[in-house]
Amino acid sequence: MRELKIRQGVGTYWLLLFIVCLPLLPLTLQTIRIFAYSKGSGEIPENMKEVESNLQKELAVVNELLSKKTPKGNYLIINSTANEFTLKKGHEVIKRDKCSTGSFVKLKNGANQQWMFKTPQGEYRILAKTTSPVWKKPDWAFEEAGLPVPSANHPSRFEYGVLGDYSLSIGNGYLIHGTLYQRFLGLPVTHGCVRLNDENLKMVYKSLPLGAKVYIF
Amino acid sequence: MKITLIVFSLIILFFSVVLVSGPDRYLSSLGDDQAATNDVSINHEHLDSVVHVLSYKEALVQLSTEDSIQLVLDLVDSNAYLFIHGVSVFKTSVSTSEVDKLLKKLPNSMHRSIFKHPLMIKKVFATVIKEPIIEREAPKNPEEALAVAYIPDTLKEESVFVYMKLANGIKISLEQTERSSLTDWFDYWRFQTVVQVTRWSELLENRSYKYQPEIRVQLPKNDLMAVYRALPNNPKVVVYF
Repeated sequence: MRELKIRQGVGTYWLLLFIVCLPLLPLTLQTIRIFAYSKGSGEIPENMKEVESNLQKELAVVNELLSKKTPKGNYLIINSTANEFTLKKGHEVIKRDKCSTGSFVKLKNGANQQWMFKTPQGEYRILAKTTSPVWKKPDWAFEEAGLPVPSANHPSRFEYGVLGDYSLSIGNGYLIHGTLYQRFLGLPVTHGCVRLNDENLKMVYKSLPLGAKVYIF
Repeated sequence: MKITLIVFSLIILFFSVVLVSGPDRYLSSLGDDQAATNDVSINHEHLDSVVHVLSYKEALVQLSTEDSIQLVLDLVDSNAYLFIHGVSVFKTSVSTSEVDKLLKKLPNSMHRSIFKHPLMIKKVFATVIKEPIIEREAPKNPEEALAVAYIPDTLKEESVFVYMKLANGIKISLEQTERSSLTDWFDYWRFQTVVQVTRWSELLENRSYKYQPEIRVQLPKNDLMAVYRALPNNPKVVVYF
């Protein structure tokens, strides 16, 4: 009687194990099926050297094409998420440091007017270089400060010294310039322009000629 | 009891047949055009490395014609890059990566036909928002402007997990390496739940099961954030493994 009970217990145990393990069977079989795929191995066929040599030739051509893509001269890379810039020459890093980029603030003035303070991403070129730049304040600068917007060439639009000693234009009103607010470097606080500290701005200004590439991501 | 067991076994048998045929269904779904470009003379593991590197470089050349920023995963050297016009503008280290066994087992001819092109990303899901836009109303006077002056919140920490489904069915999970806080684990669990729900709902929609190869990559959190925010709306990815 006792032996029968033990046997029944063992039977239940195996049944439970079977029920628990069985759902794993399809996945196990699928894994076995994947392992069964063969990509060709074993003895190397006679023509393999010729095939390999052709592939190596193709690779050399492609490598040559790719090596031409990197600019030979100086160029600038802006990381707008980390608020960091890298000045490079070919593959060599000349300088990497903090900068400030767009704040992603969307400023709304009622239902009709709005501005998005975002640094644009993509590939740009240095289109203009200026020393002792003067900032001509756009409408949003007045709206943001809670001031009435003056006429297009009103003297209150022109501010001296706020952009630092140099500015470099990448088009559409976006500049790389200096800042009075050095403590904000490394943070997203600008209206879309790229701000650098005085030393880095001077280095970038001297290093990048007109037409040099600027990559922003 | 016996009937229950028979029904249970039949269900298991059905799922076994469906799952075992999944990889074949997936490979055949890759299309006839890819079969047409198959060069079977390269199907030998002796040529694996040269075929893989050539496919990668060919994809990079194609990628250089794209105007937008694109992602490159070089899992051989454990690096992830962002490229614009063939120029690498960002590089970060991959801490861990896992490539699906089926993808590793692909014959070289098929590997080349798939991976010599940048792969189109069809769907992206992430635990962070793409553009952290802050909407503000213009102040009415200088006093109000001073009171609401914008200062960014530097203490705000977000976990970054990104899931991408490619047009050819491959799934890519980009995960932050850091899992130091409870929030990170909770966000990872939430991310995995959404990924699994998406996967099963797609299976039910398609009505025929296809195997879904997966690539999992871990990157440092801040770098992953930069990668995700840099990618355009219709991103492409080049994968080298």
